[in-house]
Amino acid sequence: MDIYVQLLINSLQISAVYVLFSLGLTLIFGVMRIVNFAHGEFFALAALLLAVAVPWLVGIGAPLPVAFALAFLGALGAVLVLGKLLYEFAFRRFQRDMIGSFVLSVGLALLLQGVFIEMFTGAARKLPTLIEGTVRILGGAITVQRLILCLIALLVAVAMCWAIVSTRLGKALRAVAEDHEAAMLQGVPYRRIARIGFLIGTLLAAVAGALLAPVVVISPVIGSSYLIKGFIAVVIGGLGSIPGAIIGSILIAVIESVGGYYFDPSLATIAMFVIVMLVLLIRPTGLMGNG
Amino acid sequence: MASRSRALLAAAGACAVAGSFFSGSDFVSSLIIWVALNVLMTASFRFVLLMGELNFAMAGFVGIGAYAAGIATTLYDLPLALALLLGAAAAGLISLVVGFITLRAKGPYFMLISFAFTEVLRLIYTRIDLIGGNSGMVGIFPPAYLARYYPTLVVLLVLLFLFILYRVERSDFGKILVAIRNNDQLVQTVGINVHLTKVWCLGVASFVAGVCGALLAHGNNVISPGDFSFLLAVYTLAYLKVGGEAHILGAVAGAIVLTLLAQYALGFGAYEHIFYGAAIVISVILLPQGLFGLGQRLALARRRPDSRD
Amino acid sequence: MATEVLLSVEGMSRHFGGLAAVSDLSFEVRRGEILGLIGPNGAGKSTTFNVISGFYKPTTGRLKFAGEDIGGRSPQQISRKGLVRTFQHGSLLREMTVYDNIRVATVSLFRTGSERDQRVVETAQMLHLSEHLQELAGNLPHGLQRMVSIAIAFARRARLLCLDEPLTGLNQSEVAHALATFRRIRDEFGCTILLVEHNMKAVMEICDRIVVLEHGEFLAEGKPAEIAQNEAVISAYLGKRK
Repeated sequence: MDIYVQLLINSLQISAVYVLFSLGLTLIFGVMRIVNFAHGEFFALAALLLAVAVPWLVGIGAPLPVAFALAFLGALGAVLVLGKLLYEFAFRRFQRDMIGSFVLSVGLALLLQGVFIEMFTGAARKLPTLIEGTVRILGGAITVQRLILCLIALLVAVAMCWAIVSTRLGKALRAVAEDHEAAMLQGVPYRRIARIGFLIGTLLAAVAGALLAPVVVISPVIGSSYLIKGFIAVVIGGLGSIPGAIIGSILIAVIESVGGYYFDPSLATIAMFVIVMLVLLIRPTGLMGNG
Repeated sequence: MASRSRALLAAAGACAVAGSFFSGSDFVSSLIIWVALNVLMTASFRFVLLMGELNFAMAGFVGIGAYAAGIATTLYDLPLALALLLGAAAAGLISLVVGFITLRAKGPYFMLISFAFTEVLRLIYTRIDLIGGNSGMVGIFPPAYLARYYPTLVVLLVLLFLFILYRVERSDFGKILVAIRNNDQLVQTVGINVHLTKVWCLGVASFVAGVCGALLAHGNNVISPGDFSFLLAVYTLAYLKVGGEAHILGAVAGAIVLTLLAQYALGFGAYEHIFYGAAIVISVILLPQGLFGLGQRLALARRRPDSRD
Repeated sequence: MATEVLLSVEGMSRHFGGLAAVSDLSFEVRRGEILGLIGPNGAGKSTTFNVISGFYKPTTGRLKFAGEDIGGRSPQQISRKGLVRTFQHGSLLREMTVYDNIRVATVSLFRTGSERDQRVVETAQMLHLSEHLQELAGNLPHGLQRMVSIAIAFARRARLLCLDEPLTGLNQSEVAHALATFRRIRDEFGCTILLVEHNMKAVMEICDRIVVLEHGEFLAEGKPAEIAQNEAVISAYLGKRK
């Protein structure tokens, strides 16, 4: 019984990052009808900045919690600035052009990854632990840091779902996602909503990266591997669907933790792929996608 | 196409064949093979773009062609022609299955899954010891009597398949592909099964990609899973964007120019990422028609003083 | 005039989530007639078209074309049976020449290139598009683009042509030309035409019969003169003007 609880806990913890990552992807697709291949690089940048900033801040005398807080905010800020720049100078002109924007984002991702490899010199990094300790829940164990990661991710996901349903911004985002021309006719400021949606999506990727940095060894090429799994998750769930992104992410997290335990990570990835093909066979637009 | 352009192209093709015949050093031979295969891979990628899809699974199909041909040659001692055929057929057939499942829905599903497909194939190769696992497969050689003329064989086959892709593009099938990209609902209303047509398009392109893989395997003599990562497809995208999508010659131009440029301007490592990434971004933003489009505009400008309007 | 029924819609409904776009609609299209389908905005005309042409499955009800059940069939299958539709917006291939636009419509009809070519040339002649064959469809003026849309559908020599607001954006002389074309298509080639249109004057002029929808339901049916005097129809239209 214990092993199942542990696997469940591992799944939830892995899914935390995937959920945030996929929510960003699906939100951007929803409002702009584009897939941003560079999404993984926003994620990577936040993680890398955190991984670099914390030791540096500690080195100049900041206490560890302060260093983490400052680095966290700094990483988010930097990614947002990058996102805004890329939106204004690149993506804005290509919205609703799925092919053109994807091609552009592939080029940007490649370019950014090359820059990261240069800037962060390819060496993997491990951060000092902020909060020590392990917690036991129902027979399974999880480190305190990972638990906090889960809780924050859960909080953010719930907040997003609530905001999408209840707030005016959320309703505007949904209107634009459903039918952007109708939304425009009803007076929704389409361009502003698209930009906000893009930035929120990018912010989610950044938060995911910044939360991941303390618990995993970060390398400059981490964006690509998360991106591929993120793609699988949003396709399973249905592009543009928020509940779909959550379901898809949890599913791949379960496969990764169970598959990784009983077999090995590469077999788990192969299994994920088989699953997504099966889903597409039965429902070509994903579990919760609209046909 | 105007007869003068046709003559020029034929001459260029003949030069390519002749050049490959007399290539002296191993380095030049390898380069010719590498450039020629990049040209054909770019043309294959472009063929799928005709119907409006980005085929990032291409690298996966090149890999299937390479491994299938490699197995045929090293494990079963089959003649080269048969190995090439098996490589291409394997890639083509598997693409029909993948395409059938992923091309059904409108939207970026094929695009996204094709990335995952390439990655998963790579993982599968690393797990199969029979084909060398992570270290790859060695000893894939063309027959001894062909070894010296291998670059010529590659160039000839590349020219052949370029011609085939060009003819198919100009046929009614090709027009339907472009129509699907323009307005797939309309194409459904004129009695055409859009889904199956798209699957066949992918099949044709993947068959050609399989040929590239098989030729690559015998050219490099060694193949490993890392050779067929999605970076291969992304570089192909760069070639196409730089060269121009509107005409198959754009694929040729882009592949030649960028491959040679990359060869002489950089080593490996991070700069390669930056180079290709920048090439794509700059082309998309500043030169969307690519070099071919630029050439067309210059030709038009030069002709204008004598034109009647 | 023959009273053979070519298309029969029986009790057809189409729901989207909780919303009924069309409820319990029944009407028939008789061979050789030009039938108009009209109604205020939101009446369900486009939805009806989409169901008839296979782009939506009907939630309930039956559709019979030339005696065969077509409810739930794909657009491609329905097209091959002889029912072709145009779209209200962009019913053509902008980046291709007029010739290629029409050619694509002939591919599933003939096996050889010369037969396809012949059909394209004949169709273009019929619709006075012959001088424009090598032009890009997207570059043509609006009226000619509409003609290309009709040419694409007509190239199939369909038994039933379903035209979705073909007169939108046309000036008076273009409308007259289009109406004359519809008449010729019906008279010389025996095509039956089902027409969704907002241009009331044109509808009254060209249609043999008219079916009126309101709020997704059947409202009235009859000859143009009868419909023009129908109280319910008049109030449906007047009521919509706010």
